[in-house]
Amino acid sequence: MSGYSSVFILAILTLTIIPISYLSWYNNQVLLSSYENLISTINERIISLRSYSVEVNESTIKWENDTSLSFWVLNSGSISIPVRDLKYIDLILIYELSRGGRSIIWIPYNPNGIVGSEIFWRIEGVRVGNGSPEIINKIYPSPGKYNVSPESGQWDPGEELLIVVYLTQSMSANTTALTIIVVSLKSGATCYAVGE
Amino acid sequence: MSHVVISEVFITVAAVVIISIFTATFLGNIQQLRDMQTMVTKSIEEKMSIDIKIIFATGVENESIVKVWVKNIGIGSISYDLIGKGDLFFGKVGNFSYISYNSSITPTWNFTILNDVDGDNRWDLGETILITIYLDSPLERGDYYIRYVTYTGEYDEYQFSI
Repeated sequence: MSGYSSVFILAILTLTIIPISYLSWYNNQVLLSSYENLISTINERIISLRSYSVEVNESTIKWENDTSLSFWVLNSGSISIPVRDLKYIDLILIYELSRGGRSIIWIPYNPNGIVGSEIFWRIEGVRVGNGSPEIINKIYPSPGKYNVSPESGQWDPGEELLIVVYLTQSMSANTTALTIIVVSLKSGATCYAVGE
Repeated sequence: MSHVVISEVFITVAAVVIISIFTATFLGNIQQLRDMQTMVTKSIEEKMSIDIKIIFATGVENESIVKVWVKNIGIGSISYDLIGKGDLFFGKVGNFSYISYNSSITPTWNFTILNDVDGDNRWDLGETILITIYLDSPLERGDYYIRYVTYTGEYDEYQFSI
């Protein structure tokens, strides 16, 4: 009997240890996964806060006519911005209306916008810092203008985009008055510029 | 011999009882620890995933409307209903007050999602809402303060002058 008793206790101990080990392992996996998600969230936040930056070149702000404004914007951060993310860029324009009064307007990105019939902005040029054309991740952002589809490419660090804003005739501008431009990226990196 | 058998039975039963108590306590504690840790990390993650930035705000002198553009820069999205559950404070610097949402009496505020890129009627990462504040008196020259607080308690503030 004494021999059987030892075997029986050993069997019970084994049957107890196996589920305990499994449950401990399972709980550790759950905890590790939860920590992994947390670290990933923190990383993404740090990247988005530190790596994105944008600058409007104030000297290039120019009213082409009373319904069209152009300016160059530099990606002064350290991360490329995919063209598909341009729709997340906020462009706010504050200007004097030609009929009098001030207009404060958020302009939507629309690469296929129809000039004269709607208010929108799109990209009409790309260059690198020294003015030469871009080489890597070439941008084809405005199918409506370049007859290229779908939109592709990346706005790389150091590259400048020529943004052109189109207004409708009813919202036409007094081109001699002060114009304020706010540009904000998807990450929240924001730039304010004043043109005369 | 019967004494030996009885004592072995006692030892076996005692071993089973002790192991059961140990197992129940150990597993219970592990379960509690796991739930607690998961809750803490989830809470931190949720807190970090909701983040906003007021990118611009302005008003015009002698007008009773203030426009505020707020961007979701967190990882999580906020449902349409929960945007209205946020708190808005506005007023002159040092003298601001709580503005109620969507009230029939001014001052009040409401909002629209400007670039709902995926059309899901949620305020997602990178999307911007326009908050319009309707005041009960026209704006005067001076410095103004805005604070928008999300339903999770995250907030951003902004000052502008007219």
